[in-house]
Amino acid sequence: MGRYILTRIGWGIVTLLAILTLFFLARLTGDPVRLLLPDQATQADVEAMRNALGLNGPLIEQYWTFITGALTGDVGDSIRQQRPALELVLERLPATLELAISSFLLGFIAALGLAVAGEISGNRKLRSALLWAATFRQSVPPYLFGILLILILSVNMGLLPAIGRSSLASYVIPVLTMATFEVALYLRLFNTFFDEMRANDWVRTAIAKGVSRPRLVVRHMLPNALLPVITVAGLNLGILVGGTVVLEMVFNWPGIGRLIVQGVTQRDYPIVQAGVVVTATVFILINIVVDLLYALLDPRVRLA
Amino acid sequence: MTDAVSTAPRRQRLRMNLSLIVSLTMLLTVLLLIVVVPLWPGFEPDKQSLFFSLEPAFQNPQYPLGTDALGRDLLSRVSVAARVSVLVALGAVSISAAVGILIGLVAGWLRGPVDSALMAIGNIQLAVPVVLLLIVLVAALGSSPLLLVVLLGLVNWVGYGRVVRAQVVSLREREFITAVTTAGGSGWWIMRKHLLPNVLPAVFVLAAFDVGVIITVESSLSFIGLGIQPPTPSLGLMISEGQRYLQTNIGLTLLPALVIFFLIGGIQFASQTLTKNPRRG
Repeated sequence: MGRYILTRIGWGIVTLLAILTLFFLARLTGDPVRLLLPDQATQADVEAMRNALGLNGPLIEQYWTFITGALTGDVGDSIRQQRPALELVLERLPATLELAISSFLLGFIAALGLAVAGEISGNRKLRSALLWAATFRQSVPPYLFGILLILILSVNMGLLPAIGRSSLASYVIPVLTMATFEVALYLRLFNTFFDEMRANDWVRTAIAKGVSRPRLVVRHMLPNALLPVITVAGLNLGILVGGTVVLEMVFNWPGIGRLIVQGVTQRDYPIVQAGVVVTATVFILINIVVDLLYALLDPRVRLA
Repeated sequence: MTDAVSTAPRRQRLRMNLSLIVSLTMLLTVLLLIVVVPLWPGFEPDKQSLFFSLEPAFQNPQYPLGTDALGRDLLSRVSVAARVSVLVALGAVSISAAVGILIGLVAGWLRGPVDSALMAIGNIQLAVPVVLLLIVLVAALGSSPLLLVVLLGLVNWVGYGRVVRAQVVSLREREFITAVTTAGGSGWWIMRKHLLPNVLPAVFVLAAFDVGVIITVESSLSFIGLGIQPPTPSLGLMISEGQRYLQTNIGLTLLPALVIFFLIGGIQFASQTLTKNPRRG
């Protein structure tokens, strides 16, 4: 177990190095200084900037400074705000995590509840209606669904604040947007696995020996469906993170996603770099946790 | 649909057909929009006229669905935007599939260290959220439509690589491959003539669903201003521009939104019919 975690952390560091290298290579394709400075910068500004960023040495040396800097968390100061970029990013991290985690938990639990209820009821019409609703929801990208909710709940009905993160009410629309997306995804998944399971011999045996339907679904079928669904949940974290990044733009949500996008448009590139490193780190850590969870749930999985 | 003891095959089939009809209707509507609207004499996606700025829909026969803030015809623009989205997605998916097939074939056929190395690269790439990776790449390299197609294609090969590799690993043990090897067929020949045709069906299924995923990603990127850039119309960009007029001119947002819904829905509803495997949101 301990060795497994160490291996995974090792791979996580390799992944971070790969991202940083990609970033470094991408930076080489253009003159970063020219990219960073406004168009009217003088030659003296360019030189000063070049020295400040350590861009005058040989490539290997630049690469080394870049990587060691990034890994120790020193990615330099934000160009627009004159503060350490990492600090700015970490300030924004809670807002993003709140949105992503609460949406995931709400969505996952709601999907589980709906899928189990549909299965216990044995009502094909109910199941089919849920499935159709889920497919409809999946056909609307999160950012678009967010705009539609703003249109209905804020603009037309005036019930909730549309943007910002000032009060508890301002959480409703963003969380609802992302959570419904998650509900749809996991509802369809649970349904798929329940469908596959229904014809199994062990289900028939359970029915034959008189297991009640709620017990059959909750104690026999659900644990078997939970494993593959959690695997897929791990794979879909990327979609969750990507969706959140874009949603932050819709709702003016003060999270990492909006910071990164602003960094890109304002050419504030230490911010972009810090944002990407932090997001990737969190993402890798969550993936490790998902794997451990998987091993806890399934005694057959031996971590080596 | 392998469950032989399913109790209601008829009802099941009826529901499946309905979702297929919904899917086809959605996709055909978008196809008509893309193909037929450019034939209409009033088709002028780029012509601005400030006299007719923010014209509402169904008022002026010259602009059947109204105009945007610069007085450009919405119907024409949404037609071009849909075309751009579909072409970008098809191009990107073709690149992903091509790269994935090549890597999958080589990894599955050679096995050993090459296989491990290629799959490790894939795993590393999966550890970075696609949208984030794209934001970084676009920030560094820019986002001309062609570049966007290539980037969208390159960040998405891993799924194809894994599927193809898994198939090749099992195919290479089959007798017909042994027969070709015995007859002196080279590795390259076997990959091209014997393995490739066998992996293509699975690749096509994956690619069909990926088109919807890529359309979502591209429109999201364009929406936040990092995808298709202004003179070219794009659905995400139109929505982000229309958002400013939500209270006065809702059509500006709803029209491109409807096209996106039809495009992605067309694929999602087909997936409800054709597979029980909607694993990629």
